[in-house]
Amino acid sequence: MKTKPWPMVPLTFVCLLLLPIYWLIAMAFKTDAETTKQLTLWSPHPTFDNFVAIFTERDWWMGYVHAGIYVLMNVVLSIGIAIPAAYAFSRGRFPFQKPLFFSFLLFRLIAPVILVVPFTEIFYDIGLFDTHAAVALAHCYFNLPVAVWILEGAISEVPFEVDQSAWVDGYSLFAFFRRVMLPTIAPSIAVTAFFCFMFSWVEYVLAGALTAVHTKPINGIISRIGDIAEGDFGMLAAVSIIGFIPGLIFMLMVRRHLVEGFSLGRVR
Amino acid sequence: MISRAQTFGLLAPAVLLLIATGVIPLALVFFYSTHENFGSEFFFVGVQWYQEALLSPDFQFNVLRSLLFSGLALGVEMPLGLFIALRLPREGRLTSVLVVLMVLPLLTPNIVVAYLFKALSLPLYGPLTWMASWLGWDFNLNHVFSAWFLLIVMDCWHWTSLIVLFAHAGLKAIPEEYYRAAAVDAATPWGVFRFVQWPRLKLMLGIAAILRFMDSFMIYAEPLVTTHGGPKNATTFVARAFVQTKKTQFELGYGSAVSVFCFMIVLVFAFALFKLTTRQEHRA
Repeated sequence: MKTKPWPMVPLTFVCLLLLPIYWLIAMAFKTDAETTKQLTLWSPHPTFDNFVAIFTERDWWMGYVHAGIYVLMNVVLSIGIAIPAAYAFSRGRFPFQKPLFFSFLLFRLIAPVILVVPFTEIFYDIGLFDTHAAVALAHCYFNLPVAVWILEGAISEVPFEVDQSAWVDGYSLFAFFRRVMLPTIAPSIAVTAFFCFMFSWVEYVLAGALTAVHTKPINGIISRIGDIAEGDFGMLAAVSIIGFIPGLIFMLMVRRHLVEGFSLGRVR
Repeated sequence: MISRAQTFGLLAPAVLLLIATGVIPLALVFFYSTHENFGSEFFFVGVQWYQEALLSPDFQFNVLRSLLFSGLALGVEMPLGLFIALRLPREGRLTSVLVVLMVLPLLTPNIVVAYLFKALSLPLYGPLTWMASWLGWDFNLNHVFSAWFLLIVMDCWHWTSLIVLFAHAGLKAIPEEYYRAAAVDAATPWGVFRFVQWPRLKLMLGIAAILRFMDSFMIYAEPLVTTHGGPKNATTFVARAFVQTKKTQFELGYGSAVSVFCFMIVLVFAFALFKLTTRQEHRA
């Protein structure tokens, strides 16, 4: 067995991906004058002002808290409702099963920007405008289908005999889910949660439009600042870098099952 | 077997949630697109907004530019992503590290990507501009070619990983025995690709292409931040146009008609690609 050569193509690709991220990090430690008026690989006088500003101004750091709250609500809601549906799609047989399954995915193809006006109207009318619940609910239309798809794949991997023996042992449907099915597909649930987290965390059009003074999330603040000022690169860079951290931690926790998520549960 | 009643009970919450957060908002958009409003009073106007949009040359050019952008973005990202995935080892520590790093762009909000690339392409002191001038290329966002180049590079940076990871997931699902069988048959690398890998890959790549088409066709923040849609209208795409109109209440109908039209284009593309990738091949 000869030793395997280094996979140069993927390595080069990842290095190219990291270059802009390096620049983002470098910019976070620069003043704007430095970013726009000279070219330095790393600032000779790194400044922490941008980070200090984020953690001392309530609007900024609360932006992360708001985003965290609605993302968490969305993940719990999407997964909680997707698990039973995925089970029904996997085990049940009913008319129009396939068309219904695929029509779920069609919702994933609606660009958020299309739904800004109707969502704003609806949430105003029912008094949810500028609440975390509004964004959490709005993000369901694209996260629920993804969750159902990945989890349907995961449940279909579990042999039906497992279900049957649980019925024979006298489990109720609820007890079966809690004691048998959920522990079995736990890794898939974690990956699904990561995907829902990722899509909800990076979405900023609806998140910005459905919130105002009380719940403005971090991405909404970024786009608002961008509308007013030309630049403020150091601040934007610092904000984005802190914004990576929750996703990175989450991703490292599910890293072993990450690829399964990208197969949308369709790895057989 | 679970009973019919149980099946519907399990499905009901998901269906209801999707009706509330997907069907109803979409129906509202459709309603707006066929009505004119004065304040909160709506009058049915039929296809007037659609006619106005589809017959306007500005809009037609926006659609064409969006289609061209999607075509270029997918044309670069799909083959590149597939090529990288084929060279990525199936398993191992290095692969896991690379996979984690490749997810990083996917965790970056569009708006951040837009500002990052704006910084990279700043006149004189942006690293991209600097590198281009070092190569003897006057990189300038006031030039159509430079502006398009930046948008394509930006999209590739942001999304090629998605193609790689989808393709990698598809490749990983192929049992080792298939490769051994192919080796026994002394298959060429092309043969392995064509008859072992491709059949498993095409559905994954089809799904990836559909998702990418939707996102690239509706691109909004990136051109707005980096090129302001210019020079002139060279990088004004369809989403930019209808967001502009939607901001004023008066043009709600027009903006909604454009939204419905865009969604239809995405659906047609998705349907065509889906048919293409799930078509049965008549061979063993």
